[in-house]
Amino acid sequence: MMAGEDENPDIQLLIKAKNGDRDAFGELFRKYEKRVFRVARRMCGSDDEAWDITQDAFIRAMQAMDRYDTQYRFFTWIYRITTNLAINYQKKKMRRREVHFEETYSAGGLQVIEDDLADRASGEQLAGAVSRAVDKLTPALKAVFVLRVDQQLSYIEIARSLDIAMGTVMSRLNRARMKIREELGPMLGEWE
Amino acid sequence: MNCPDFDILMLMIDGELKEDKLKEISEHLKSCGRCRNLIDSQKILEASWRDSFVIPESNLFRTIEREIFNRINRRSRWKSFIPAVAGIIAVLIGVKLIMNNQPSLDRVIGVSRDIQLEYGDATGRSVDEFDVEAPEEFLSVSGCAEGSEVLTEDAEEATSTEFNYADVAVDGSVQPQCSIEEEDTGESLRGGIGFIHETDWQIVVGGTGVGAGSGGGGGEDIVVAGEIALEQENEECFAGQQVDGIDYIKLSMDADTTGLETVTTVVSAPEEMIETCLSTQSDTFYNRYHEVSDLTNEFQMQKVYIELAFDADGEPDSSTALLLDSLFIGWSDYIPFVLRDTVIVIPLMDLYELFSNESVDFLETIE
Repeated sequence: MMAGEDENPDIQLLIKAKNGDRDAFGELFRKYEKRVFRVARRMCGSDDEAWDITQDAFIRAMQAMDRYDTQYRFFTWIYRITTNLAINYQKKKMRRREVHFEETYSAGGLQVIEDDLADRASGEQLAGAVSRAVDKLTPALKAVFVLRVDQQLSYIEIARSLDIAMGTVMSRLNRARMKIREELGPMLGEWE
Repeated sequence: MNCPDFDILMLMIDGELKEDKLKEISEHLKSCGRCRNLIDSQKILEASWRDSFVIPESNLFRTIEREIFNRINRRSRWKSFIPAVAGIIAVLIGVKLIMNNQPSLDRVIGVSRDIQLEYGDATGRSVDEFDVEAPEEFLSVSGCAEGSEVLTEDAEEATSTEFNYADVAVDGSVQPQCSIEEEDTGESLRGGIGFIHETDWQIVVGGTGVGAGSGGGGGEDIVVAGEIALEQENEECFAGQQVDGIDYIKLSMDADTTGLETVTTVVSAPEEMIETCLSTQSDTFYNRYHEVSDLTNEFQMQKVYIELAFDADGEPDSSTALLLDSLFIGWSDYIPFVLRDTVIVIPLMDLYELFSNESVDFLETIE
């Protein structure tokens, strides 16, 4: 029995699932499916990619169960797998399509800002603009921003999930927010 | 009080501010509309983004759930067969090894030479085409020589695959390893496995090569520090060492291909050799290197790691095929059956022990 097993109900589900217990796997999956999908979708560019990452994340979690440190909650571990997969995926994609990426998103951002000068941000427009700004973040900054703002994890939970120091969480989050605000520019005019 | 920095206000939003500081900032906010606006705007933009997310319909999740469960189960069943099948293989082919007594370095080198001789034309070239001038003390031939690369017609692909891997040639220099991309399938074939005979270092190159690009994954950021720098985001270790009068450097990279943990891969080699690598290779060069040498130790077989890679259909990558086909007759009937879609990094000695029916925890080595 692994350390912390008693206090961590997820590990029991994990073990049963690994041994072929369909119900246990279903329970575990349903508990985290939306969170994992959300993080994956926020990190990458499409639903298809997010589904792939979601699927891969759970498979890897099962395969490498022995490496799960049960003193931490399961979600920090599955978040780590998910974000790492998404980061790897995104890096590959960015390297392959650097030019395309730049053109697409730069143009989109400008258009939004122009639109918004004429019509001050509705909630939907603002959300769209923030999404585009988030998409332009580096994977490392994006991961911290997603876990904090979308998943509302505490700093310590983010640090554990990404296996980085608390100070790194803070500095990345701060940089991410400042970059997003820079991108939004005129849209934030009345609040600056 | 002056306005607090942006990061302090953000700590407040996140509920991460310590109590005394929180009181101080709260007091400031009562009289500062600018800071209040900044906090409000940040809260609004984050909330609008968070709330805009649309969760897909639940039936999609159920479909994915079934798919994952089936895949996990399938893998589990394969793994349960491994010890039995490994035993069968040992019986079938172990005789060959047992007859050779304990494997020795000479044996390994001899086998690697045989691999090259037997499979030197695996990428469409004959051994004679290797432009290698080997000192006599080096027994193995590895990789292909400079100038023998084969380009595809697709210029873009050629750029990315031409020098995906390097190998260590018999004279200790690093040569680009040939890579041929099949136009139809996209599969990338690469040259042989490099066993280098020297008493204090050795590098084994095991390309994954199951389809172009499949060996990538993490490790895309080559991390090199010191005076040698490539395109990389991070910087890592640079350790200058000297062994027997030869300068060594140690390169380290983040090879997080699994998404599970950061695997630091270290290559230790003479400085000149690594410089050659860096000047000729793309950043995928180090993707699949594994630490094989501890410069403070003498040559140990246990420190030579072999990577065996099989794709989803049980097809081995080219390096795996070369190794197994040469060392273990009969492997192809069994191993792909149980090891498909699997990458194993296994100490060479363990591999030998496995096939000679010694006690080895084979499952432990499976990733």
